[in-house]
Order: sequence, then C-alpha cells, then structure tokens
Amino acid sequence: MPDGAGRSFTFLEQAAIADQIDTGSQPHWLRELKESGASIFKKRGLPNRSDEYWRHTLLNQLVEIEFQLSNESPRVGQKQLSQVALAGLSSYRIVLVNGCVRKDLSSIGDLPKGVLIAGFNDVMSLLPNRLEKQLGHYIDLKNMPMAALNTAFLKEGVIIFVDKDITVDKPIELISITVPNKNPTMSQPRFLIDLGENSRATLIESHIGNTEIPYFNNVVSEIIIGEGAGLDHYKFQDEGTAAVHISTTALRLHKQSLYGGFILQSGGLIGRVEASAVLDGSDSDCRFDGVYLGRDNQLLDTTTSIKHVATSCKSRQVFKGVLNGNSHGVFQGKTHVSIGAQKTDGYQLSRALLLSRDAEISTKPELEIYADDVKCSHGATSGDLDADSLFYLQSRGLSPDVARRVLVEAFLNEALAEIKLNEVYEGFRSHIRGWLNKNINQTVAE
Amino acid sequence: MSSHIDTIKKSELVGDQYKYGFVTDIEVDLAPKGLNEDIVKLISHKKDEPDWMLEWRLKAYRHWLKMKPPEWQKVSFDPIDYQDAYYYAAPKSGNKPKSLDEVDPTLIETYNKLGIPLREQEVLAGVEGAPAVAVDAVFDSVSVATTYKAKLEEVGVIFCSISEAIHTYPELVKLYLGSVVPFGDNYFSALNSAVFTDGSFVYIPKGIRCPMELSTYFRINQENTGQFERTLIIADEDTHVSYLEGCTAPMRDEHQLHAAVVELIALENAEIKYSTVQNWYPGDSKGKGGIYNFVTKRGACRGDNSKISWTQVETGSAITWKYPSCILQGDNSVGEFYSIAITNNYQQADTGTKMIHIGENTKSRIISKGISAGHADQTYRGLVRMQKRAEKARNYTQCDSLLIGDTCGAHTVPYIESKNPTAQVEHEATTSRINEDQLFYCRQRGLTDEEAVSLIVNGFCREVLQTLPMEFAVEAQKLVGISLEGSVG
Amino acid sequence: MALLEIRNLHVKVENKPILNGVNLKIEPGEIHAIMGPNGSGKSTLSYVLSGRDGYQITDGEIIYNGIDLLELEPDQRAREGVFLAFQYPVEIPGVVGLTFLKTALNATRIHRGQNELDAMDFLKFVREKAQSLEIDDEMLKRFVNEGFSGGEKKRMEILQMAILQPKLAILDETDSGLDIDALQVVSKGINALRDANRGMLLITHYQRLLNYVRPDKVHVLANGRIARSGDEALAQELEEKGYAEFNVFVE
Repeated sequence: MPDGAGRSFTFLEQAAIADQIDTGSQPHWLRELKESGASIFKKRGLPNRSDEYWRHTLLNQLVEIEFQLSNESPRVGQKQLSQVALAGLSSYRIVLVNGCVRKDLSSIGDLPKGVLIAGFNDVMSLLPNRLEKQLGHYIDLKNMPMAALNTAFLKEGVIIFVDKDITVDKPIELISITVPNKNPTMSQPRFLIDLGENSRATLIESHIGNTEIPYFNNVVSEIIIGEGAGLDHYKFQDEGTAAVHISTTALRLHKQSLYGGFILQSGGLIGRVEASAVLDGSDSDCRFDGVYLGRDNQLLDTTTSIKHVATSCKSRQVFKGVLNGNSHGVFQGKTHVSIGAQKTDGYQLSRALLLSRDAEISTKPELEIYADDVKCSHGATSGDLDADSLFYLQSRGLSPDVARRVLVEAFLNEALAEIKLNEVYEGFRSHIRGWLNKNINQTVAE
Repeated sequence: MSSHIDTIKKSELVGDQYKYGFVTDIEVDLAPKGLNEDIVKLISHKKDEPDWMLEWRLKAYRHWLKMKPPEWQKVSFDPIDYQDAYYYAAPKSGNKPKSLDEVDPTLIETYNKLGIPLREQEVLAGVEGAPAVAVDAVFDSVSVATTYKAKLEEVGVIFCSISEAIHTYPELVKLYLGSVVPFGDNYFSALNSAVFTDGSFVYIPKGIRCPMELSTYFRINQENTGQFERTLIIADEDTHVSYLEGCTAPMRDEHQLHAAVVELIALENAEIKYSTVQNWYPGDSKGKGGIYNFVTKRGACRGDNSKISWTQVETGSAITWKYPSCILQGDNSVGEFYSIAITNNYQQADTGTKMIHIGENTKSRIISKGISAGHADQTYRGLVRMQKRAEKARNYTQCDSLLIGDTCGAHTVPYIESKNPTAQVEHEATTSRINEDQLFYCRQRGLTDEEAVSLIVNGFCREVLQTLPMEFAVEAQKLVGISLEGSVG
Repeated sequence: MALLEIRNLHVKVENKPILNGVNLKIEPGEIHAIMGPNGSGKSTLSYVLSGRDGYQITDGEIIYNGIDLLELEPDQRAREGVFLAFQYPVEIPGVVGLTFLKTALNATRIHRGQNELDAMDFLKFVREKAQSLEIDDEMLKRFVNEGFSGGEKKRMEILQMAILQPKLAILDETDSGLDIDALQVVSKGINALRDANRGMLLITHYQRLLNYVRPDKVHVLANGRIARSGDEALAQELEEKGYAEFNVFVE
C-alpha cells in the first residue's frame, strides 16, 4: 500500500460528505467526473517516492494533519485585500477566500461583451452544457493524483470565458486568500479558462496566506487557448509559512496561439506548481518562465511539461531559483516532441543558486524526442555566486551583503525580463527585493 | 564436431553489416538448462572454488530471488525466462591450457578472425605500428587464454582470469569483490554475482605504470547461453592502467542475455582508463534476435587524486542498459565518462552514467554523443550528485543527440542534485537531425550519402573517439560508419 | 560537343517560378560569367546544376559531356567532374580538413579508375596546391570551415577545386566578402586552373572579380532568363549603368 493511502480515504470521505450536501442539484456528468477523480485518487493515494515526478516532494504533512474543508466565510476586509493587490493596476478582480468565490470582495464591474468571469456555481446554472463539454477534458487525471483529488471535490472555482476576436481591455486578477480557522483548512478550487479564436487576455493569479497556521490549497486549472488567441498568465505563490500549496495547470494550445506563463514561487512550507501544455495546433508558441525563492525548511517544486504534437511550434522555458537556509528546490522540466511534430523549436534553461550550506537543489531537465527535424536543447546549472564578480563589487565599495543582493537580482533578471506587464514586473521585483533584504544578510557560505 | 572449420551463418538478413556473426563449431561442456541453487553450486564446483566464494554466490542468488527486474528504463522487451537458458558453457578442452600450444586451434582461428591476437607477436586488429596489447580471451563462460602474463609479472602486474585470481589471490578478491557493486545493488548484479563464470582480474601494485594496454575480448558463441562475466581491476597507490574491452557474438534469432559486472578501484594517485567497444550482435533489420546487454559498471575513486575514465562506443546489442559510473570519494579525484551510442533498426539503448561527488574538489566530465536511426530508441540517463562534503566540486556535462530519419527517438534524462553551495554543476544538451547543408556539401565533393553520413557522424563523435587508444579508435571509426548503413536514403 | 548545354530550363522553388527558360552553352576551355541582380535566380542555377534538393525542374534539360545531368545524384555529378564553389561554405565540426579533402579526392580518383593516394603522396599534393593559395598546414588541420573567416572559406573552396580538378567549375559569388588582397589570391588560384578542357561558370553580382578573371562570355540573368549576352564589355557596362534597364522585378 502506498504511503498515505490510509489518509487518502479520509480525504475521500470528506469529498463524499461534501458531495452529499449538493446531491440534489448535481447533474449526472459532474457526478461521474467527481467519481472518476475519487477512484483514481483512491487507487493511487498521495504521491510518494516511487512516483517519478514526485520523488522529492513528499506530502507527509498531509498525512499527519487533519485538514478540513472550510464551511464558513471568514471576514476579510478590503484593506487586507489591498495589501496583496498590485500597485496601480486596474483590473477585473475575482476573489476566493478559503477556496470559495466571494462576490463581496470581487470587483468585476462592467465586463466587455463576450467576456465571462464568474464563480463555478453561477456558471453551472448559466452554461452547464459548456462546462460539461470542457471541464476535466484537458487534464490527464490518471497521471496527476493531486488533480484527481481536486476533481473528487469539484465544487468551487472560477470560470473565465472570452469569446472569439475579443481583447479583454484590462488584466483579470484572480486572488485566492486563505484565512484558516482554528482547524487546518483545506481548499480544492478549480479554474477553467477558455479563450476563443483570436482573443487576447492577461491573467494574474495570486495565492496568498498571511498566517503560520497550516493549511492545504490544492488548485487545478484547465486553460484552452483557441486558434490565434493569446494569454499572458502571471502566477504568484505566496502562501503562509506552514501551508502546502499544490497547483496543477493543464494547457491546450491551438493553432498559432500564444501562451506566456510566469511563475513566482516563494510561499508555503511545501509549494509545488506544475504546468503541462499540449501544443496540438501548428505554429503555436508556449513560454514558461519563473523564479523561485526558498528559505528555512521550504520545499519549492516547479514541474513543467511541454508536449509538441503539431508541427512548427516553439517552446521556451527559463527558470531561476535562489535557495537559502535549509530549503530544497526542485525543478523538473520536460520537452516532449511527438512523432510528426517536425520543425519543433524547444529550449529550456534552469539555473539555481545555493546561498547556504544547507540548501539543496534537484534538477531534472528532460528531452523526449520522436521527430528528427527539430532543434531542442536544455541547459542546467547550479552553484554559488561568482566569486570574481562579488570581489569586483566589493572592491567598488559595496558591502558583501549588498554585493550579493545585487548579483542575485542580476541573476534573476533573465527570467524577470519575460514579464510584459509593467505593474506585474514592478510588483514581482519589489517582492523579490523584499525577500532578498530579509534573507540575504549573514548568508555567506562560511 | 571435430572439424576445424567455422560454419559461417549466411547473413541473409543484415547483409554484411555484422561481420562477426559466425558461429564456431566446437565441443562444449554445458550445464543443464535453468537456474537454481544446484546450478550455482555446480558452477562453483566446476571452478573448484573455495567455500567462501560459494557462500557469496548463494547469498546473491537468494537475494536475487526476492528482487524484481527494473522497470524504470526506457526500453521494452518481453520478460526473460531465466529457466530457459544455460548458465555454464565452456569449450571442452579440459583444464585451462598452460600455453598457447595447448589451446584448441579452432579457438585461435576464431580470435584471428575477430582480429584478436592470441599470439604475442601479433598486434590487435592488424593495426600496423600499434603497441603490444595483453589479451584475456573469454569464450562463452571461460577464459581461454591470457597473453603476456610473464612479461607483466616481471613488474608485478597481475593479469589473469577471475577464476584463477579466486584461487591464487583470494585475499585481494575477498577484499574487493562486491565492494563497489554489492550483489544486492540491482537485479542483474545479483544474478551475475550468483552465476558469474569468468572474467578478468587486474592488480597493479604500488608505484607501477602498467607497461602495456590490457584487454579482454568477450565472445558469446553457444546458443541459449547467458554470459555473466565479472571483471575486477584494482589500481593500488601511484599507478596507471589502461584497459580495453571488446565483444562480439554470432547472429542468432533468439535473444541472449549478457549481464556483466565490472568493478574498478583506484587508490591514492591511481588512474584507470577503461575503454569499451561494444559490438554484440544487434539483431537483424527487423529487430529479431540480438543480445540483451544489461551491464553494471562502476568505479570507486577511493584515494585522493585518483582518476577513473570510462570511454564507451556502443554500437551493438538489441538492448543496452548500462551506466558506467564513478564514486568520487577521494579528495581531488576525477571521474570521466565519454560515450558514443549508435542505435539503428530496432535497437534500444538506455545508457549514461552516475557521478557521485563525495570528496572535496572532485571533478567530473560527461560527454555523451547519441545517434539514433531507423526505428531505434535511445536514452541518455545520467545522475550528477554533489554531496554535502563535496566542497568546490565541479561537473560539466554535454549530451548531444543526432536523429537520422523520422521514425527513431532520442531522449535525455539527466538528474542533477547538489547539496553543496560551492559545488558547480553545468549541464547542456542538444538534439537535432543531421544537417542537410553539411550532407549536400559532402556530396558535392563526391561522397555518397552513406560516406557523407559516416564522415559527419564521426565528426560529431570526435571528442569521444579521441579518448580511445589508437588501435581502438580506428576500429571504432569504421564501426560508426557500418552501424549506420542503411539508415539514409 | 559542348561541355555543358542548358536548354529551356524552368525551375520552381516551393511552386514559385524562379528560372523561366534558361539557355546556355559552355564549350571546353571557356569561362562564362553570369551576372544579375539579387533574386534573379543565379544561386538557383548553381544549385540545380549541382543537384541540391528542393528545386522542381518543370521543363528543359541539362546535357553535360553528353550525359543527362539531371539524372545523376549530387555525388555522381561531383565524381563526373562538376564542382560547385559555395557562396556560403558550411562548417562541419569534428571533421579535419585534410581528412575531408582526402576522402573527397579518393572518391573521385576511384571513380576515374585511379588508385587511392597514400597519406604521404596526398599530403605532398595538397601542400603544393595550398601554398599558392596561402593556406598553411595549421589551416588544413582545422575542422572543415569551422571558425574560418569569409576569406579563408573562399580560399579553401578554391583549394578543393584545385585538388579535385573538375571539368566544370561553378563559382557562386566567390568574390563576395573578400577584401582586395584576398580577391587577388583567389583570382590567381582560379586563373591557375584555366585549362583548354575545363569550363567555368562564374556567378557574380559585381564586375570586380572579372577584372582579375577575364571571361570569354558574359550573360545577364534577369527574371529567370538570360536577358542579354555579350563579351567583357557588357560587364563593364553593367558596372556603370546597373541593372535598371532589365526592368527587374525585385520583391
């Protein structure tokens, strides 16, 4: 029996209880979808060391702590919200607290015609047929146990639909805040984003938890980008210090579509952001970039997979990690080129800085290639800051700490440069600066 | 059975590409088919082994029974029926001959045909001007001849079959056998530990630079046999040795298992260079037959400033599964892995290395060149681990894959782990197809398609070919061309 | 018999017509220059003659030495004596220049029924030819064209021509990217190969090269056809007036 299999029953019991509450209103297909998630999770249990893509990210925490689905709506003020919002950004904002959409905190206002941003339950009553056609159709639950678990709980979330030829004039902000009760809270939110042909949108997704109480946030997103459409997607994971954040994103890119994803991870005790894209229309372009900042006993895992199915697609991935304290960084990135996916151009770079004696990095860049007319490469490095550069800066009068901060920032710039939206760039950069000021003082190796 | 004529199997299926596919007709001593404790005891008895050796074999066998074959590698094949093979096959010429005059002339003829000199005045592969090489020739389960023994003994170098070493140098064998690859390390190392029949043993005494290249030539001949050889090389302090390994097998429709274990130990200031040209029968162009080459090779740089360098040219076998590795224990020790792997038709290879950095200032370098053609599938799989104490350790890895045709696969699966901030790891990998402009340029200068591919691929592999001893490099370059025949056009 | 005769050659690239009925006849010993603006189809002509993939021949024929050239594979054409000096010679990492030259030479020699040259004779032969092109041993030992300057690449092309002794040499923009000193060295190399049995086709945008290698005939290629033919004076005229009068359609 795999680790945590016993515990998985408890998870599933909760799912069953939650399910009974809405039995009346639930259509048949949704019930089946949830049951398929439950049965996959029941069979596999929590991922363990023998799961190739979970070798380093052990979820023992989840076995030890009794997480409960939150059934109350804690008070969250606009003031609290403004602390997490990006300065100067005007957006369509939808807010979740403990995994549930809170209309009182959201400010969607007047949406352009052809754009829908709404909670899962509202869309269930408005457009159930469309959800039936799309929900769960883009994610490989069999190989994603945590997404299967989320599916077993499917009840809350956010749906974003953009009709064809529409450019959403302002960024869409999706903010998820966790305010735990006395008992450790669990959230299982689900997102579905579907961009119609030739549409354009920008999504900023933040997961925040300003608390030291443990909680578990298990997010699943399905994103479909129609022919000629484009999505810029910024993801900020800054959960509470004892939180477990697992997010699984499945992307489908159609012909000539564009996806630019950026992930900034610095929160949680365990944080894992997994993104996998299937490029099944020719001439599509997929980018995954990101920065992770680890401290104390954090484990931060970034796992990506880009599957080139169609011809002439391009993928780029640049990830930079900075690891301090006893933190452990994990980067697993895969570029897969299927038979017939000729003229593929795939590039990947993963670089990690270890700033302390006890930090650790595990990297697995992977190429799986079944077509010959391709140009694929990856690079990976790990090490400390360059001693010559440090010395140079010090010789110009910078203190060792300042010199290190300057060099770390420079190291991260290659990834940050991929951020197109200025407010996000500034916001992320100031978060990174704050982190560096707090974490790089006496971190010199000896 | 007494005639001294080789029956050469007509190479209907692979044309003339595999020129070592003949069968030597020779009387053999076969143990009954199947695997059980009695067979293990029989092998040990045949070799007149001391009790401690039998005990070790039995322990390994019992451990093996509890193990499952590995499944993580990216190769696929039908399960092996371990009861449907012979575990012992030896040419029936009684005890090991004392001199070459006593060796069955059929065997000498076989090795001549393979380009392996068993007479000391001859040179390897007929390469003119090549330096003398001492050869240990292993035919099916046993070592049939070892050359230049006397000359090596003058400087104290021990070069003999492992069976002989178990009798003559039991203390060395006891101390080091299984010390780098414990029998329980993996499924095939356990199997090998239980049933290994022969292999080479080398000991280089303190302060000696081995005066000539040492070489073992493995030949599988008998049908339905597994070959399980065991090689142990110990380089004592302040020594240097270069060791070459070659292998071929007849063309047969059935798969044959080759599960060897090689252990290298380098003490302080010792250097071991281990080169392999692996040319086991790869199966025919439809994927029928061929050797399953499931090998565990590992070296331990035990002493400070020691160095182990692996070079492999893998062109043969239906399936290759091997990861020649280095455990860099001594401070300033160095590990190297240079590899060319060529898979064509339906061949599969999952190969790479592990570099485990334990000591301070340890360095490793990995250069892997993979070429995949036809319907072949190839994976580079490697691990670079910087342990906590590996202060200022360095690794550099370059993996390049070349695809010829749109029905083959090439994969790169590196694992990079570091627990030391002063350690630096650098990994680069590329995958591309053979460049059309280069091909056209060569053809415009009068080279045929195949000549052009062979030239370009040899250029692609140059960095690795350069690390081979001269006489092996010549053979390897030819092999690169031969292995890719039929892959273009 | 003409060395090369191109009759009514029509060529498309990705279904776009590039050559629209080229006629050209080169006798042994003659040097022809083909001039023309960018995009007129000059390089296409050189690739069609040498047999590169990707060119659809929709009409016409090319007779070389009495044989149908279009029937032959690129390497067969090379061994029959058709040599192309590339505009952009490709780099082949890991392949030593000398090895490349020797492989190419022996392929041609075997085809001609000659014996292969052994290492010593080959080296002597190459050094002799290399000297006049100011190519030293160090350059020969480097990988084919890798890290070479533009001028070095072009000199290496001429060296290959000198070694392979082709019957028909096509020199595609051999003068491009050369400074005046290099141009002189290269021209000297080309002139040294002038021979009563050898034909040459110089493809060039500018008249510059023709000051050093004097052609017997000059043709202007425009809109995929030979628009005008003449002697050296034509080249001079083009230098002064440009290609405007050919009403060239350039995309």
